[in-house]
Amino acid sequence: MTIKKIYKKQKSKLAKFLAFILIIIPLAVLFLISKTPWANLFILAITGLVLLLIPIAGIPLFFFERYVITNEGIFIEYPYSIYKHFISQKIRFSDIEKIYLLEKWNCFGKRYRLVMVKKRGPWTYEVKEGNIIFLNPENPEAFVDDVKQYMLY
Amino acid sequence: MLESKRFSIPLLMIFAPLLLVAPILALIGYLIYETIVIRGINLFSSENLPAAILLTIILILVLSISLPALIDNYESYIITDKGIIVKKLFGTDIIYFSDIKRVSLVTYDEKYKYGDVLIERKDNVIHILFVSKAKDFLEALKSTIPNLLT
Repeated sequence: MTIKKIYKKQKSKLAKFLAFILIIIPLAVLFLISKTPWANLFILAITGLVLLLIPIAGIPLFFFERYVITNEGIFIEYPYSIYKHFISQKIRFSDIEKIYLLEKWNCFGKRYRLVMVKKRGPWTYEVKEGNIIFLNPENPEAFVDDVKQYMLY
Repeated sequence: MLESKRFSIPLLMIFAPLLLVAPILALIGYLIYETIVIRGINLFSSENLPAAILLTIILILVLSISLPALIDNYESYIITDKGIIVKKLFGTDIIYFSDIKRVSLVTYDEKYKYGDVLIERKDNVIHILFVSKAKDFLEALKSTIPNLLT
C-alpha cells in the first residue's frame, strides 16, 4: 500500500470555539465545586461526568481527522488513535460507485461543500451498513478530482 | 417571482436533537425541583449561589450541544417559477432551474412519505433535499420544469 495524498479535515471557526468552550466550562465547574461546602454524592457524580467531557472534547481540538488516499482506497483516520484499529475506516476504490461534491447550507443560508461517497448497493444512511459516507476535507474539489484520478488506475 | 408550493423537512428531524437531550434536561429539572421544593433550599441565597451557577453551566452545556443541531436542521423549500428557494433559519438561498441537470428520488419511506431528493447540477455538484412529502415535491418540480430529467 502506497500513500498518494493526505487531506486534513476542514474545521470551522465555530467548531474550534465550541471545543474550546467545552474545555473551559468544565474547568470553571470544577473550580466552583471546590468552593462549595455542601458537595454531596450527586454533585460529585456530575463532576465525574464533566471530567469525562474534557478529554473527549479536547481530542478533536488538537488532533484532526485525516483522509489518506492510497492506491487501494480512502482511509479515514480518526483522532482517537488509541483505538485506531477499530475506528479507522477503509473505503476501497472497488466498492465506490460514485463520488460527489455535495453542497449544503448553514443556518445563515451560506453554501459549504462536502464530499459524498456512494458505495455500491442501495441508498442507506445506516451507521453499520450504510452506503453513503460524508467526508469533509480541506479542499473538497481537489479531493474529488484526486480520487477520480486514482480510481481510473 | 411566482410562488407555487412550499415544502419542509420532516418535523421529527427538526426536534430530534431536543428529544435526545430531553432525559438530561428532565434530570436537571428534577434536581432543581428536589432542591427547591422538597429540601426547601433557596438556590439563590448567597451561600448556595455556586450551586445555582453550576446548574446553569450544565444547562448551557446541554443546550450548546442540542441547539446548534436544532438551528442547523431547520430547512424549508419553496418552488417558484425561477428555482427552488431554500429557507434556513436566518437566511435563504436559491437553486436555479437553469442550473439543474437531473432530479431523482433516492430514498422514500412509504409510511411517513418522506424521502431524499437528489438534485444534480450541470457543474457536477449535487444537493440532497430531505423533504416531508417527497413524491409531491418531485411532482411539483416536474410540473414546473416540463423537460426535467428524472
